[in-house]
Amino acid sequence: MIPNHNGQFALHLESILYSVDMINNLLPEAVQTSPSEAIKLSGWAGVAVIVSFGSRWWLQHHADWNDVLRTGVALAPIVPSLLWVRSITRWMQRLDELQRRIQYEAWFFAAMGTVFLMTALNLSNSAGTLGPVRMRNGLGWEGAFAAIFFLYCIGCALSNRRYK
Amino acid sequence: MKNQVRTMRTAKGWSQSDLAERLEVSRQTVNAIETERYDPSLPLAFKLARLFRVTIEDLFVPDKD
Repeated sequence: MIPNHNGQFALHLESILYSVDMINNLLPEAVQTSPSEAIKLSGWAGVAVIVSFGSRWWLQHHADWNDVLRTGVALAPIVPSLLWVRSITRWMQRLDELQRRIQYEAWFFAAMGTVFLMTALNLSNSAGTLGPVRMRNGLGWEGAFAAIFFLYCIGCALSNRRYK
Repeated sequence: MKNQVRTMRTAKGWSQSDLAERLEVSRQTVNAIETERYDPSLPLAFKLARLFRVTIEDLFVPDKD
């Protein structure tokens, strides 16, 4: 697709498939999804990665285009991301009530954790205390996805332990 | 909330998996209800009561404040 981004692109798609498998393993057998359903469930996340790379490439090569169009292209990955959230929500509605509660708690933990992490990074960045790892652009789309996924796994483990 | 789910289930000779299958929930849900870590929703409580042919009051006893 984009020559110099091919490795990174494949890595993101691979990490999505790995995430799907890990999420599935966190669930009890009775409510686990089949591999094909799990891939279907995360299809929009894959589309979001493709759109994200496409939009980044386009923005780099069309710096002179008008701001409205550039903003639209920059925000394009949000559309498939929202559709991914919708498919996750629909999947959660099909789970039994305890599993649904565990999932809500885990996602809430992940979402709030990511907000606090991003705020902490921004504050440290403004104070110039991040040293060599200064993040001028915050976590970025991929960083936020990784943070949410990591915190979701912790949230899932904590919630599961509470109801075991 | 205290409940008699385990007592009633064992009286029927069912395993947790049997009960989970009848209720269409996971075994973890049955276990969490029995160990009183999770209070089921009203629809699930009705389903349990209907399955054991008792009233909800026979099955669940609220904690004293």
